[in-house]
Amino acid sequence: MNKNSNQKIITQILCIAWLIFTLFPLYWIFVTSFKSPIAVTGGPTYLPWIDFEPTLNAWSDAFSGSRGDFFATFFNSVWISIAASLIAVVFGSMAAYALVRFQFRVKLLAGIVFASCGMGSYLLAKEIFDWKDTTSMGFAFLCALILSVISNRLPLPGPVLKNNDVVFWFVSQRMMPPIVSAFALYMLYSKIGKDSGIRLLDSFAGLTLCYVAFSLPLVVWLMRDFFESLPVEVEEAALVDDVPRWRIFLEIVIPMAKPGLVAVTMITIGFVWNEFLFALILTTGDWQTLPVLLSGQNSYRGDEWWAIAVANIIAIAPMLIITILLGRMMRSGLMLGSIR
Amino acid sequence: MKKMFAGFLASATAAILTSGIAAAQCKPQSGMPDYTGVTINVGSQVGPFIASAMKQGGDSWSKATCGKVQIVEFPFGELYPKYLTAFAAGEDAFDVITFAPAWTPDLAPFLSEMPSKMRETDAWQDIHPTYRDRLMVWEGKHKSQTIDGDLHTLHYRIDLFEDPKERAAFKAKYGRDLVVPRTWDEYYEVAEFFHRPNDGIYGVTEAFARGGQQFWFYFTHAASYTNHPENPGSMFFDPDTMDAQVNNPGWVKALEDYIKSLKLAPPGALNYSSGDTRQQFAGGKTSMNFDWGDTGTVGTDPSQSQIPGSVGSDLTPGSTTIWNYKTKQWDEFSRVIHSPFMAFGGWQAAVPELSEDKEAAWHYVEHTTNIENSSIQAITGGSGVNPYRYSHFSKDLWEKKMSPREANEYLTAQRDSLGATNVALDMRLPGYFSYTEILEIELTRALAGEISPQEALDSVASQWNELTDEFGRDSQKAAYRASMGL
Repeated sequence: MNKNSNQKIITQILCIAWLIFTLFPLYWIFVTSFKSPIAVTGGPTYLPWIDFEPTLNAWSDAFSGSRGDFFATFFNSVWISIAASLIAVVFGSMAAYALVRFQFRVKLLAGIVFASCGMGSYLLAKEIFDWKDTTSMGFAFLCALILSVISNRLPLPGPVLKNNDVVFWFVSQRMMPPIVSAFALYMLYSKIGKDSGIRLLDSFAGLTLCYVAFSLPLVVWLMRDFFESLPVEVEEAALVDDVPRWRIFLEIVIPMAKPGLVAVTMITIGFVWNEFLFALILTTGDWQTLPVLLSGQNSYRGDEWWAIAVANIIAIAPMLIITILLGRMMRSGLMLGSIR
Repeated sequence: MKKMFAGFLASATAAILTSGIAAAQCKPQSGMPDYTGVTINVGSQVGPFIASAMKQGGDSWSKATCGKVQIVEFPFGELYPKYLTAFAAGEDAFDVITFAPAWTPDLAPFLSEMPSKMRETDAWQDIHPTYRDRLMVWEGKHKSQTIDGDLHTLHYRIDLFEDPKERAAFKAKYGRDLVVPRTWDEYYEVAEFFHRPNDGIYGVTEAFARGGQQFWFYFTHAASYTNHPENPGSMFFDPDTMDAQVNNPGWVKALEDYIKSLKLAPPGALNYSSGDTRQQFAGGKTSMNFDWGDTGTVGTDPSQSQIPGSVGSDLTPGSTTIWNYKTKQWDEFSRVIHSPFMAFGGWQAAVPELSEDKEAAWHYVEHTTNIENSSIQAITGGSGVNPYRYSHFSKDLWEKKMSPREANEYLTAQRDSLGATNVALDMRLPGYFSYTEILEIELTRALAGEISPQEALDSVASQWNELTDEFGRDSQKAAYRASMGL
């Protein structure tokens, strides 16, 4: 018994030490946000009112707007994160379910038809018909889609891509470094704005669409694994009763996959919340998000750690809250699943 | 419930009507144009530096003209690509941009020329000629308006320098009076004298961190030994061949000095950016520093400084020997030649050609930088605006913020630096930050002791020459000569 209780004590001590080690950076940011510039640069100080005199100056600077509009960028980040994550999870989970339960056969040549018809149609519309860029792109996409669907039904030679290949294609979109497409996307949005009057640059829709596009591969890939692990017998029983597939998806599959959905939503929100590159490139004043403002606290006049600490707390706090709330949902979902 | 709804409806209606009436009631001030319905988008780095000044000017302009100003803030490091991306795509995202003068060669093709009527006012003549006739001009045209004056000046601790015990000890050790150093040799004597780590005080503090404005501090050292009064424009490159000069003995001596500064700085100084240097000085940790004007405003502010009342200012040290790149010899001078370095050069504001409200945008720029508004900005700590007008050097303005002696020395140092016959301009040429990135990498290696100063600068010179050839030697030479006023 003594040996057991000693082991318990040692374990608890180690856990507490690890807890301090992991929480210390958060504590450091927290106290730094209440320090004056002199207290920050005058050497390490840890305890307010003992080592240093706390001040609210950095916080009042942040909320006064003198270091950028934290309120506006915060709410921009909230709305865009929620919208992009929900859209990506809804469509991504549907795509993932389809890839698990249906058999896809995509002929490689049909894919090549899509690419070549797309380019050819665009050139035709742009150079021969002299249409605007946006109209030409729309025309090209429609032509490519129609022709490739038709050609897929024909007995074309060559490899046939199946479900795993389609999943790989989805995932491969994320292998490309985002910077490669950043300026191209900016130009695309700019063209669409000029040709059609649909404002995508510095807009809620533009940024949300971008994040949906970059989040979908991840959602599809992760949800596919979750759906694969679900017992198919429950769905088969429903199919025998002539329950439509969409009802099976909504009323049987989704509730069973709830922990997975929650986890994927958390991951997607985390990605969108922290995303900097596209937020910087695609926004100017109206829909700038928090990561861009955060980056600006590191001014060219030097690292103002007191301001950076405040900005970081504003950025971290919502994600902490979301993680705690969604984590509870995930755990409750897991527990439900274990009861038979 | 019905009452609550009715109450809410009434409040909402009242709010809408009130704001509508308020908006409808805006009348431009007498003599001001009416820009009702016009919104000016102003690009700036994230505040408070510069953005707060543009906002202050914007609030004043809105009251005067009924126009609106939206300050759009970005991280400093992203400003340049942000502007160029918008211009390259033909987007009219900005009506006014604020930018570093070093970017002028790259941005100038996209900027509109300043309206001539802006140059016909008394306020125009109030701008110091170094800014008005040099930094605001590109290829013979005024393409921008200075909104901030930037140069390095020396700051020293009045309380230490005038302490009788310190003066006696210094005299006993060095055989001369303890005075504000006029040369770099004197600077290091004073720094060594006050370098007392056991007492928590250090000789000097400068920026040494890569990405922390390090190279501008090194340029201030280099200007003294390389900005030859008889060879204008030869500090960075040979103005005739565009060969890099950064590895000549003048630059090497400057780097040796810079490394010496690191040894006389507080611990951890290798990670200091310019912000850290002024915090260290204002925190009473060092006897001297040199910096932009911010040390003066921070050090004299009791809410930010532990040494208010003790901040002395002067020109940065000079030299009696300067390298002559033509004769390849050191030239001796009978007096100290000061070469105050216009580090960074001072933020500029300009109106892109793509702006659909150019007239309103230039009016906003003129209003924001007029004598009244710019004076408020210059004396406001955290605005990032340093003096650039003659009227900014009025002591009345500054004695609200500093002691009479501090104000007098601060303004004299700034004014004398600007007016120095051998003032050294920062270079302005396409790819400026590509050149400085190369320099920073090698400087960091030299500061860490990995390579000698000569090796570091030989590498810089070689890479700079390659870069020049990549950009096009002839076009770089033309840009460099234009930036040096040749």
